[in-house]
Amino acid sequence: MAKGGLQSAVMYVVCHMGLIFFLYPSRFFSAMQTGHWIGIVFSYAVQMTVVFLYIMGLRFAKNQTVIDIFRSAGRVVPWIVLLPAFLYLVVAFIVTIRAYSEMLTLIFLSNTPLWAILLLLFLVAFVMAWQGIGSMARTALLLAILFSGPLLFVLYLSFQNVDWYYALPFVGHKQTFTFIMDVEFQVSLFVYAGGFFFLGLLPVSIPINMKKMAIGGLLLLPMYLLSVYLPLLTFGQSTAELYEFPMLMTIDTVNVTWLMFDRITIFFLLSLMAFALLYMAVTLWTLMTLTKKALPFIPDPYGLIGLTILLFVISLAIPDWDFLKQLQIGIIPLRLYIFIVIPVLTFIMGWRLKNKANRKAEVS
Amino acid sequence: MMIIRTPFRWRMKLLTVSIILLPLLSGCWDNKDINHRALPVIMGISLTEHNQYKIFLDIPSTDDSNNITIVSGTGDTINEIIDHMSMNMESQVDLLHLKIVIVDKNFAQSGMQDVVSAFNRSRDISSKTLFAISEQPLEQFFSEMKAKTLNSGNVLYDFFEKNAGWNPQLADTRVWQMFRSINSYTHDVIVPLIRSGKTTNIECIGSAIIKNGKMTGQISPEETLVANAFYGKSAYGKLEVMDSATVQIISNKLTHKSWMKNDQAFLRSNLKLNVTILDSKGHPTEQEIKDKLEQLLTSRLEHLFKQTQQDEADILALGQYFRNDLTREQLSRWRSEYYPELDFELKVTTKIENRGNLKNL
Repeated sequence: MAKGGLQSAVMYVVCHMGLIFFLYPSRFFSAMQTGHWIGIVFSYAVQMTVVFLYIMGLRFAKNQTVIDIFRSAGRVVPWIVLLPAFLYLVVAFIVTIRAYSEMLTLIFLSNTPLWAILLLLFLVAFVMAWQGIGSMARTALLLAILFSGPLLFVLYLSFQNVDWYYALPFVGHKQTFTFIMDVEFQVSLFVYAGGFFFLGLLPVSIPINMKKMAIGGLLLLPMYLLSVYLPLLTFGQSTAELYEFPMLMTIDTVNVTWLMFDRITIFFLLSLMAFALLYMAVTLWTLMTLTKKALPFIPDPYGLIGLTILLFVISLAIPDWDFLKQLQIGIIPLRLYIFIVIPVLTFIMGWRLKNKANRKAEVS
Repeated sequence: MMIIRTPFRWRMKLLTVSIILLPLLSGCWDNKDINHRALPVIMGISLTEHNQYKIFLDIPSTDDSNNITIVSGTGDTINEIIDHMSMNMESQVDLLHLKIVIVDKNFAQSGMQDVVSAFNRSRDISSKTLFAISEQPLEQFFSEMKAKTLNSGNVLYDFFEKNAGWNPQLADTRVWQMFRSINSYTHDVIVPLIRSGKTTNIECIGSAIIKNGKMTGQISPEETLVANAFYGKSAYGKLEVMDSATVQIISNKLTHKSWMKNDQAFLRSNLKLNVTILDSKGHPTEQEIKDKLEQLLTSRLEHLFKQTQQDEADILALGQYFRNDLTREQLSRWRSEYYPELDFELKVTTKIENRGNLKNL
C-alpha cells in the first residue's frame, strides 16, 4: 500500500495539535521557572519512547487491537488493564471539552451560555464519532490541509514581539530535575498522554507506518516548544505565568496593520478548534469502542448516544474552573498509567504473543 | 453486487431536520446588532478627589454625521461606570474596538496597576490598546479635542498608528506591555505624554517613565527617539546635529557585552546607525557630522540613563542582558539593587549611507 500509514500519522499529529496550544503552556509555566526546554524535551522523549513501544507491541501482535492483545491473557485481564484507561479518557474528554467551551466564551462568545457551546461541541464530536474511524481519518487529512496554512501564518506572525533574551538563562542556575515531581508538571503531561491510545484500536484498514509516525512526532516537537516559548519570549516567565491562556494572549499582542482583520487570534482559535474537535471525536470513538467490546449486548448507535449524553451531563455538572483544575490533579495516577504503563504492558504482551506464535510455527 | 440506496422516507426525514436546523445558521444568539452598540475608540481615565475613577468615552457616531459623542461618569470600578453608562444610553457600550486609553497625569503618578490588570483580564478590551498620558486635566483635553476634530473620531488613533501618524519621537506602549512592566523584573516602559495642541490636534511633549504601573519621571521627545533607537524602532527618525546638519536614521543595530564583577553589573553597548543626510549648514565634513552625532546621542542616552537609574526604572530593559549572570531571585532585585549601580557605556558608530540627491555636503 503506497499511502498506508499516512492517515494514522496525520490523525496523531492533528489530535496533539488540538491539545498543545491551549491548556499546556499555562500548566508548564506554573511547573517550571527556568530552562523550559529541558522539561519539554524530557516529556517529549518519554512520549516518543512510549509511543514506539506501543506501536511495536501492536506490530508484534499482528493487526490485533489492544483489547484482543490483553484478552489473550485471560477474560478478566482487559477489564483490569483497560478500565483505568477508560476512566482517564472519560475525565480527559470532559476536562478538554469543558475547558474549550470555557475558552470560547472567554475569547469571543462572551454572551452565549456555556451549555449551548458545550452542546454544539458535543454534537459535532458525536456526529464525527458516529461516522466511524475511517471517516475521521479522512477528516483529519482534510483538516490538516485546510488549517495548516492559517496556523503557520499566525505562528510566524507571533514572533513580532519576541525578546530573545527571555530565553536566557538557557540552563537555569542550579537546574535540577525536581520539576518531574511537580504536580503542575504531571498535569501538563496530559498533552502527551491522551492522544495516542486510539492507535491501538485502529482497524486493519488504517495501518500504522513507523516511519510516518516518526515524522509526525518530529513535527510536533517544534509545536510543543513554540507553545511555551512564544509566550515566554513575549512576556517573560513572571508575566506569562499569570495568564490562563498564554498562547492566546501572545497572539493577541500581534499588531498587523496591513491585514484587514484586527485580531488574528480568531484564525488561530478556529483552526485549532477544528483540530480539537477531531481529538474529542477520536476520544469519544475510543470510549465507544471500549464500551462496545465490554458490553456487546448494547445495540450499535445506542451505546454511543448513551455515552454522549452521560458525558454531556457530567460536563454540565462541573461547577467551576477550579474544580476542573482539581480534577486534572486528581487523575494524575491514571494519567501516568495510560501514559507509561499501558504502552509498556502492550509491548510485553505483544512480545509474548509473538514468541508464542513463533513456537507454534516451530512445533507444527 | 447490491447497490445501497437511501430510502425516500429517510431522505425526507433528513431534509426536515436540516430545515429545522436552518435558523441556527445565522448564529444569532443574544448578541446585539451593531447599530445597537456604542463603540468607543478612546477611553480617558482620571481620579476624582474622592479617589473614584472618572471615565470619559469618545464614541464616534455610526451614521454619516461623523460626530463624536463624549460621555463621562464616575464610580469605583471601571466596569461599574461602563455599566452605568450603558444603562443611561440608548445603546450598549462595547469596548471591543477601544484603541487608546488616556489617563491623566495625577492618576498615572498614583499608580495604575489595578486598571491595567482589569484591562488584561477583560474579555473584550484588546491587549493591543495603546496607552497615553495627558498632561492636561482630561475634561479640558476632551473638550478641546471635540472642538477641534469636528469630522472624525479617528484623529487620536491615527496619531499613534504605525501606518499613519506615528513618529519615532513618540513612545509606543500597549496594555500588554504595561502589564508586563508591572510583573516583569527587568522591563519598564515609556508612555507618550500628550496635550491638545495649539495648531494641531495633539501635541506630544515627551514620554513618561512608568515603573510598575506608576509614573516616576518624564523624558523629552528627543530622548524618546534614543530610547526607540534602543528598542530598534527608530527607523526614519530625524536627528538635528547641532549647527551642522539634520540626518535621518535608516536602520540601527545594537550589540551588547555584559558581565558581573564583585556583584556589580557592567554593560558595554554598541549602537550602529545608518543615516542619510537631509540638510547641512555651511560645509561640515562628514567626519564632523559623525563625531557630533555620536556625541549627541551618547550624551542624550547618558542623561536618559542617569534619570532612569534615579527612578530605578529600567526602561531600556538592560536587565535582560544579565539573565545569564543573575539567578531569578537576584533578578527580582534587579531594579532596586543592581540597576542603580550598573556601569553602562554606550558607543555610537554611525555610517553615512548617502547624501541624498547632492554629491557634496
